[in-house]
Amino acid sequence: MIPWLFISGLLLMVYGIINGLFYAPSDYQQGDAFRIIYVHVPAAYISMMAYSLMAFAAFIALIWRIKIAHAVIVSAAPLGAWFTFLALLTGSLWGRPMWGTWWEWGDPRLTSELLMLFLYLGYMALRASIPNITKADKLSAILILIGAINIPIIHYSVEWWTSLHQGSTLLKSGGPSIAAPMLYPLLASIIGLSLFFGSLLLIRTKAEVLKREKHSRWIKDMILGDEV
Amino acid sequence: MIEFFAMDYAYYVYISFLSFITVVIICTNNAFKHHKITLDRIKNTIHQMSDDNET
Repeated sequence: MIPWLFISGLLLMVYGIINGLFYAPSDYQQGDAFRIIYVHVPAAYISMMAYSLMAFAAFIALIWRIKIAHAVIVSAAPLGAWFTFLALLTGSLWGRPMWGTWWEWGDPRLTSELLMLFLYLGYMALRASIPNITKADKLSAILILIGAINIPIIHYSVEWWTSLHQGSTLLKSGGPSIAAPMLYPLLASIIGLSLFFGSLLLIRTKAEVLKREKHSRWIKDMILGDEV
Repeated sequence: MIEFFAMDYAYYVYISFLSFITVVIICTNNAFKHHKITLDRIKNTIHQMSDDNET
């Protein structure tokens, strides 16, 4: 499953990026700077999706005490942090030519996204600071659940408050407000990066489960039987 | 098709795409390396334990 996710994600991303960069028509207001959408939107989407997944896994881990849920959280955090950083960086690179500024502290979308990066980093720092794995799992899962309040704030910030950031283009009532030649490469990039993220998450989760279960009999049997 | 250097705001667009590719490469490399290191460590430990038991 991992190679299929990895290769199909990569192919869709390549299709989305090449078409977005060279074949999609220019925007009538933003010119070619709008092409940053093909990397910014997928990165921002993954940053929120990864956190939502972590919050869901934290809920499962705390309520039903399913151990693999903690492994999923640990594995998703670095990926989520990287893509949040990328969303902020590409957003800043888009903001400079369009808004005339790299960063605006008063903007709710920008600051709530930055807060999410701090939540990812805070989660990883908290885990690293607690040597007892059970305690680290529990406390960091609580932090993730508390931080989940930031997800709707990020999503609705452009509707609730005045923001430099444009409103939603894809998820809006009446359908996406973007022309088909611009839309298809964007969808390909988003779906491609999601599949790619899924493949990397599975690889990292597999490693995390191996690490946590290294003293188990089934791991020993697998290793000695060369089944891994 | 847009010409490579004829693009408006080309600097911002290309830096964005390059940073995207860089992050994708870093995440892929980290994931595979992390998996390989973990697996190698566990294999070494288990083979060591197995050897100890035999002796």
